[in-house]
Amino acid sequence: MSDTPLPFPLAETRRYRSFDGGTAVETLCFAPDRYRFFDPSVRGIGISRGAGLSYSPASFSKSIPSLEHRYFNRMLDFDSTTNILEVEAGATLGQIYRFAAPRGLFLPVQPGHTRITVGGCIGADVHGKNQFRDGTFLNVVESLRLFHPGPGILELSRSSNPRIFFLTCGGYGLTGNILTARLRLTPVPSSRIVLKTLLIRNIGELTGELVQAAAQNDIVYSWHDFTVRGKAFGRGVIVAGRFDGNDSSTGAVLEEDRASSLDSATRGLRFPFFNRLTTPLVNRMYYASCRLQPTERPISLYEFLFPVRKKEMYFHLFGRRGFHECQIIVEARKFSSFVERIRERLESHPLAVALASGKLFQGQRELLRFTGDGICLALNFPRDQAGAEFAAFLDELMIEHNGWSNLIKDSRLSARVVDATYPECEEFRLRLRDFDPRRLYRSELSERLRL
Amino acid sequence: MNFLIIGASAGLGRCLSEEAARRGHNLLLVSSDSRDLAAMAASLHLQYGVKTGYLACQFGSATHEKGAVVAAAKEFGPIDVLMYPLGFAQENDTGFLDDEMALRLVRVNFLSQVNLTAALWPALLQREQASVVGFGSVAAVRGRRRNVVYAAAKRALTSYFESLRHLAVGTNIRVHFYHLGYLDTQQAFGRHLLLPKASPERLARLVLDRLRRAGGPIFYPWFWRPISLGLRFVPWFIYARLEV
Repeated sequence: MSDTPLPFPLAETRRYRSFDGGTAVETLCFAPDRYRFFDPSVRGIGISRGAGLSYSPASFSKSIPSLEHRYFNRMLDFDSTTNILEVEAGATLGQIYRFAAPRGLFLPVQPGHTRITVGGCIGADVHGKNQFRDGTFLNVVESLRLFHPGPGILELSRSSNPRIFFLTCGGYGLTGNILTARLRLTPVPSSRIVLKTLLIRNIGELTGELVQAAAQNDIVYSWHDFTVRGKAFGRGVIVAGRFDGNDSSTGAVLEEDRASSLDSATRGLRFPFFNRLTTPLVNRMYYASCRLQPTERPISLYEFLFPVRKKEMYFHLFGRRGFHECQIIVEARKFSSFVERIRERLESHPLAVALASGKLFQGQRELLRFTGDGICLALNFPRDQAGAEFAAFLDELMIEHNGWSNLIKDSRLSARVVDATYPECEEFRLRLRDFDPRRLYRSELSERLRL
Repeated sequence: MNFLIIGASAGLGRCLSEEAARRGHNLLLVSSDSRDLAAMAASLHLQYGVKTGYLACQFGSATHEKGAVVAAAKEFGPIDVLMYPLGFAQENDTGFLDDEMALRLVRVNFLSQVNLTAALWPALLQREQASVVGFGSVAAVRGRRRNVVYAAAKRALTSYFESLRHLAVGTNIRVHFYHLGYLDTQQAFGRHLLLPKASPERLARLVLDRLRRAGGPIFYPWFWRPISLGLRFVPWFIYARLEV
C-alpha cells in the first residue's frame, strides 16, 4: 500500500556479515522505497548497501545505520543514439544484462555475479577479467547523482564536480548515497565468445603468457595450483576469450537467471570442505579436467559475463568461518620474485590454497582505486589460524615488493598496510574531510582503515 | 489492457504495477510523489515496452484531484482495470485524532475510492471487460484500541466494495476485494509482528491471475480468514482484555 508519507526513518536491526565471513555486525538498517527519504525534512543518513556481496564490510558499521537500496533499482532512461542507460544505484548487473542483451549491448566492465548492484560497482570501482583492455568500472560511468545531507543531491561527472566524482568512484560509499548513475553500454561484437585454454607448467611462465594472450584476446585470466610442490608449483591454465568473429549475431540469447544461493547471510557448510588433504585433490582434478577440455570452446555472453553464477557452491565449501581473499597487484618485473617467495612459504608452511588466479592489469593509480600496471594475483584460502598467518605474510611480502591490495576483497587489511601501499591514501582522507568535514558516512572498512 | 493504479509507486502498488507491466499491460500510475512515479513509469516502459503515464495526486487533501485523475485517464486511453492499493495509517490513531487527521485518514482510505469509482464507473461499463480491485485490512475485522479511524474507514470500504460487487452483477465489471494481513513492505519494516509478513509480489501475481475470475473477497495470507472469523466471535469479556 502506498500514497502517503511514512514516519521515516523506519529502521530494523539486522546482523550483517562480510562476504568472506571475516566480520559480522549487528546494526540498524533502513530500506526506504521513496525519494521522500532524501528530502531536507528527513535526510536520513545510512551507509549504502547493495547486494551485500562485497568481501570487505564497506556497507555496514556499528556506528551508523545501513541504507539498503533494494527499492531503488529502476531503469530511468535510455538513449539509443549514445547507448547511455540511466539506472538507480540498486539496479543489478543482471537487470542491466536483461535490458541490454536483447538490444545487442552490454556493460563492458563488470564483476562476475548478476546480483551485484551498480552502486556497489561504482563505490568499489570494480573490474572484470578484461581490466587490461577496458579498465575499471569508472570507465563506463558517465555521471551520477549523489545524496549527502549537507549539500543535498549533487550531480557529478568528469565536468561537473569532478573532484567529488572521482572521490565517489572508488570511494567505498563514504561520500554519500549514490542515487542514480548514467552508464555507457557498448555494442556486443558477437553473442558468442570463444574460450581458449593454454596449459602452463609453472607460475614462472605466467607473466609472458599472460601478456601474449592479452594482446590477442578480449578477456584473459589464469588459474594455478598452489598446492603443488617443487618445479611444478603454480602449474595451471591461462583462459583467454575473444568475441567470435565468425558469429555475426549480436542479439544475445537471454538465459534464465536462477535464484542465487549467495547473499549477505551466506554461511557455508557446517564443516569446511577445503583443507590440506582435500584441496590438493580438488586442484589436481580441476587441472586434469582442464587438460581434457578442448583447447577452444564457445560460451554464451551470459556465461562470459557472469562466470560466478555456476560456481556459487565454491564459496560454501569454505564452511561457516569463511575464507580469505587476497588480491594483490605487483609490477610485472617483480612478480617472479613475489611468487617465488610465496612458493618458499608454502613449502615450509603448507596451506589449503583453493584458488590462485592471475590477471593482467593496466592503468593509472589514483586515490584508493584498485588499478595500475602489473600482474594481479588473487588467492583464496580458509579462514583459520594458518590462513591468518599466511595473509599477514602476504601483507609484508606485498609491501616489500611495492605491491598493493584490493581493499574491497580483504576484510582484514590494516590501515598500516594500506598506508604503506597506497601513496594517495592520505590524499583520499584529506579530500574526504574537505568534502565532508563531519565524516558522516562510515563503515567497518572506513573505521578499520581510518579513512 | 489499460490499468489505472492508485497508490502505484511503493509497496503493493509497485508490485502490482510491475506484475501488470510484466504481463504486457499499459499503466497509468497515480500516487503522491512525482519523483517515485516518474522512476516507476520510465522503468516499466524501458523494461517491458508497455505504455506508461503517471499523475501525482494528494488524496488526503480536502480538494483531492478527482478531476485530474479522470482527465488523465481519458487522455491515457480507456481504462479496463482500476486498482486501489492505497492506504494510510497513523501511529497516533488511538481514538482521539483531530478533525484534520481523522478526515485525512477517511479520505485516503475510503472517500477517495468512492469518488473515483463513481467518476470512472460509466467509462468502465463501456469496456468489453473491466475490473475494480480494492484492498481492505484485517485491522477492520473488529474495532480495537489502535488504528481506530483507519479501521473504521477500511470497514466502510469493505461494505462499499460489497455494494459495488452487487452493483456490478449483470454488467461487464468484475469487483474484487482483498482483506490484507501484514505485507512485507515499508509499512511493516522493522516491526516485530506475531504473524509472518506475506510477500507483496506473490499477492500481485494472485490479483492479476484472478482478475477475470468470479469470486468473493479473499483473505491474504489465507490464515487471516480463520483468525478474523475467530476474532469476531470472541466474547466481549475476553476481547476487552486482549492486547490487539
